[in-house]
Amino acid sequence: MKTYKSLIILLFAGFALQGVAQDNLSPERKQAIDSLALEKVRDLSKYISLIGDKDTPFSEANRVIDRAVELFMEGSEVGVSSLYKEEINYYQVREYLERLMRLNYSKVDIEWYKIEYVSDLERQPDGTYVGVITIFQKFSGYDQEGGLVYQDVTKKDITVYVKRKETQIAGKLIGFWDVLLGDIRVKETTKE
Amino acid sequence: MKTQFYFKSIIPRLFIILLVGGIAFSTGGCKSKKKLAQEAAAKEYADRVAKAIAELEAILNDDGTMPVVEMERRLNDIKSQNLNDTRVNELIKQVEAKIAAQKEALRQKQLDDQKKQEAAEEQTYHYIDEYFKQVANSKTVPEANAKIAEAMKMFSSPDVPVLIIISKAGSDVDYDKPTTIEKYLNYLKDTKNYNNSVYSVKMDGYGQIVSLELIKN
Repeated sequence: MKTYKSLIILLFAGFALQGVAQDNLSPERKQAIDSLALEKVRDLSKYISLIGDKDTPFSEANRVIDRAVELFMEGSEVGVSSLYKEEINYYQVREYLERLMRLNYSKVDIEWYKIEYVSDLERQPDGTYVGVITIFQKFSGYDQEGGLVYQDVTKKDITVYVKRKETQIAGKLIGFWDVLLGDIRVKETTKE
Repeated sequence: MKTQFYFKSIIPRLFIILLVGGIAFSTGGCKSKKKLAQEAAAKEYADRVAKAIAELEAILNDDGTMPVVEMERRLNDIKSQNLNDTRVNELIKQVEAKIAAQKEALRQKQLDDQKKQEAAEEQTYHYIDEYFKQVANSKTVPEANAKIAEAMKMFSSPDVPVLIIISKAGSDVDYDKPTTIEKYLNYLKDTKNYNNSVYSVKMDGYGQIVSLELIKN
């Protein structure tokens, strides 16, 4: 009976140590992952700007939409707000991007800035690192004469999920960090 | 009766004399055997010490022809004999220092060779970095597409894997999610951002790239 107890304790200690070992990322590696997640959000900002830009050819905009969708977890939603409405509408990522492409302005400028972590990446029990990155989006819509028709600044929170995965490439096992974006939630919308 | 008494008293005495004599003679024989054995052991020890000294001096006087592995093998063999001789111990220390110095020199040489190889590779594949920078810095979509079409000729197919190292510390290598060269070139066009360098390239028999590894700057 005593032997069984000892075995069970050893088994649990083994699992616990394994968990600690996996969590034991050096500060340099952790920083590399933090930067990678931030870079994905910056990439999305460039994609959104391209999709919204009326000068982007249709085929290019559709290709960029595909690339942008690949950045998200399946089922993720993006919040859309307006200075004229209190309610916030949430759309599936692809629908949001397609609506963005078809906006009824002659010219659209979308700029993301102050892209930073509001909640650091924290390791979850399943090994996924989860954090929240906040961004400020300045949206400007112009008419045919180049006059500014609408402008707002929206603060948005983006949940990021980072998980270590492995894949075989040319017979070589590659360990990589898969960064996926989750919902984009509207925090506040102001005129400036 | 008298004779019988005489024998009765002399026999035990004789027996005791023989016994004492026997012990005395036999101890003398043992002593000489032990002495011989001791002398043989001493000679053997002296031979082993002399041999060890000769071997250690040979290692110390070696002009670079003896591999470090062989030096270590001989040294370990001598150390395992536990000779406990002052001269041998002193030479062991000198040989250990020589081996450590040679190992450090080897390690340094390997590092230098690796750096030279990396620098040579960087120079060799500099033209790939240039293509990527040109795509990222293109002013218009048609200009970027023309550069992409040009760059694609270097690769065996649009699906050539591109791996991006985000951090590297010893054996721990972390990659970004693998992509393909076609997607990566379009990524450069869209984001206008090339912040990597070519790390390694694999080519096929026709000199076309079949896999590409980049590293974050």
